[in-house]
Amino acid sequence: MTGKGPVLPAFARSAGRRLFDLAVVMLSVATVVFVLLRVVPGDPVLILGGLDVLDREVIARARESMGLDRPVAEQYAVWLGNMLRGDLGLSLRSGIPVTELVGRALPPTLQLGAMALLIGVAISVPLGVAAARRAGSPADMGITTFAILGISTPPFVIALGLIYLFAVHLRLLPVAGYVAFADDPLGNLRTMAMPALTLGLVTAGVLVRIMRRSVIDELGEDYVRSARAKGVSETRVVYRHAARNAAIPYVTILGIEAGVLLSGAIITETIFAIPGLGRLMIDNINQRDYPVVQGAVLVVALIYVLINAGVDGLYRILDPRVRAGEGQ
Amino acid sequence: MTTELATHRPEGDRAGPAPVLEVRDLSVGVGRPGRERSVVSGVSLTIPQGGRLALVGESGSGKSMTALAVAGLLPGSFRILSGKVSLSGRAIDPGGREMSTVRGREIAMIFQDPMSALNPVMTIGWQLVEAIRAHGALDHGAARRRAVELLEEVRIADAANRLDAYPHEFSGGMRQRVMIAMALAHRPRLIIADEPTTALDVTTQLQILRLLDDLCRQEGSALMLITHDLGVVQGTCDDVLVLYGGRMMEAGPVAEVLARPRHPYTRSLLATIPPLDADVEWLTPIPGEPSAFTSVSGCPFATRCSLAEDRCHNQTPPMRIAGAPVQAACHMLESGAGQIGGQE
Repeated sequence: MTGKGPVLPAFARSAGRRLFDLAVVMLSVATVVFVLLRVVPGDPVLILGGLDVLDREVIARARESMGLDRPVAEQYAVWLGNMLRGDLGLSLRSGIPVTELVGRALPPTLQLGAMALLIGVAISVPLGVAAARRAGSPADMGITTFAILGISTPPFVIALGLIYLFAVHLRLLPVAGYVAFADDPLGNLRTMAMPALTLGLVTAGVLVRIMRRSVIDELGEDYVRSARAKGVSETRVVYRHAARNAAIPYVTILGIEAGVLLSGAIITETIFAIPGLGRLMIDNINQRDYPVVQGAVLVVALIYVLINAGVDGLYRILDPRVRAGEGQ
Repeated sequence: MTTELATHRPEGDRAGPAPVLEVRDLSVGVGRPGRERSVVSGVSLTIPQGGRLALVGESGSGKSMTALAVAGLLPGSFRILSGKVSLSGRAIDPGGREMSTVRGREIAMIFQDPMSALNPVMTIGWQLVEAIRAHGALDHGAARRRAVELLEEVRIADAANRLDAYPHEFSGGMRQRVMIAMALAHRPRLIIADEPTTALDVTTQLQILRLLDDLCRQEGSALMLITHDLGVVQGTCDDVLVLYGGRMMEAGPVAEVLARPRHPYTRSLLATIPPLDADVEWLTPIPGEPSAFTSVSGCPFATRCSLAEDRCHNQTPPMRIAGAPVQAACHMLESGAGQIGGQE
């Protein structure tokens, strides 16, 4: 392979490889979702019309209009061809283009994910570092207990607890609902606060533990001793040396957690009545609305792939050894 | 320029400027408070201004722990149990917070493994600038110019263009040069070098040692060189302190100790070095292995010593004059240990 073809700069080559990876992943996801939905029992026509629609004529016509009468291979080819043109089909139920449904559901989910991630990072970095600096102390045990609670409490329990505290008891926030940011920024933040905090606390639990462990490991490294030998202040040793290096394993877990958040969003969006991707998927799986589910899953997969690309990008920024290894 | 281990010398006797470093009865322990086991016990040493002292011993002899204790860089569960440390006549608390104003400015350290001693994600220049700006009030630009000067002093070619390189782009020898440059940043009165050449290949070892030697002389810094290599000691240091099992075994001027070692341990240590002027088929290894902790009573070397008798196992021998100016801690000095001398 080496020596042949035009010599591309390392960055262009790695970007090209990433695009190819992305195409492979998306095609695999599309195929798996397509097959799975057709293997799962349940007929969309019967579910749509209700089980009392027994007129064979009606059913056949409905099948035909949805393209469900054609061979599965043909359905797959048509769907794939349309997808490449950016057409994800129409909802079987409402006839609304899937791209439109997904496009409407995407912003709340992205906002929820971003806010939850931000809360998770804002909690986990200072707490993780503080626990690592005082490893074994009562403060460390308190923080570790908080982290374990965050990890082991199911999100819906946290959500209900928050609803009780902020909506029922303190009457500060609405119980559920959603307002678009463009319509009412303050109202939007008020409705998103509790769902974001729910997911943020769960994420923070995992991230605190990773940050704590990584900083403890880094504090035992020789370069930390060198920094201390230079007379650098302890705060600087911890943040500019140990935490800076601990960021590398932390970002790996952050990427995984960002993916986990998407599945956590399904429950959270349901509890707080947020019209996001999670709810779109759940509702339409129940209705066997194939095109909508396929479209939504595809977009979720795309988000996963983009998160991974983002993590790779962060590695490049955080670790010069990764940048050096790129040409190989 | 001799290193005196004059534990019993009255204070009034001292003439001239105060020694750069004076350590009295230092003990270091590891473990939970109240249940510590000591790894260094009763170590005293003195380094005069510009003096050079070698701390010699096998792995686990307590030489690194002694040095780290003085610099206040003991790892997590290790603590100073007792002892006094003075820098240029001023008592310091190595475990205290104010040590960050002493480290890097008055005492600098160079470590064994240059591969891991530099932060892998920061540039060489960043780390040098940090060392420079840790003390004193140079702005960033001035600190960078000073960093280039320092790299030139440790003979790194094309220094200005090397500032933005990362540690992984440097060889082991180059990284150790960078460590030396950082140590020299504030012209410290004492440089502690903990096996600075052990991790380097043989040709580089000599270069680094010579560089360290030259720069210490040039800057008038005293040197505490920690090594297990008596060959290195010969050319570099004035005095030598031999440690075993966390205790002092023998101390004195290098030439004197190497020519006529008094302590059985020093002699066995010397027997592990191949002589340059004779062919030898086999080197003599020291039988057994050292214990990680200091013994409560008795000579720590007794279990491996061919001369040991009952009292060696029961009573800890004190350091005493063993033919001035050398001191040794051995019960058997009179019964022949001291007279065997040299390598036969």
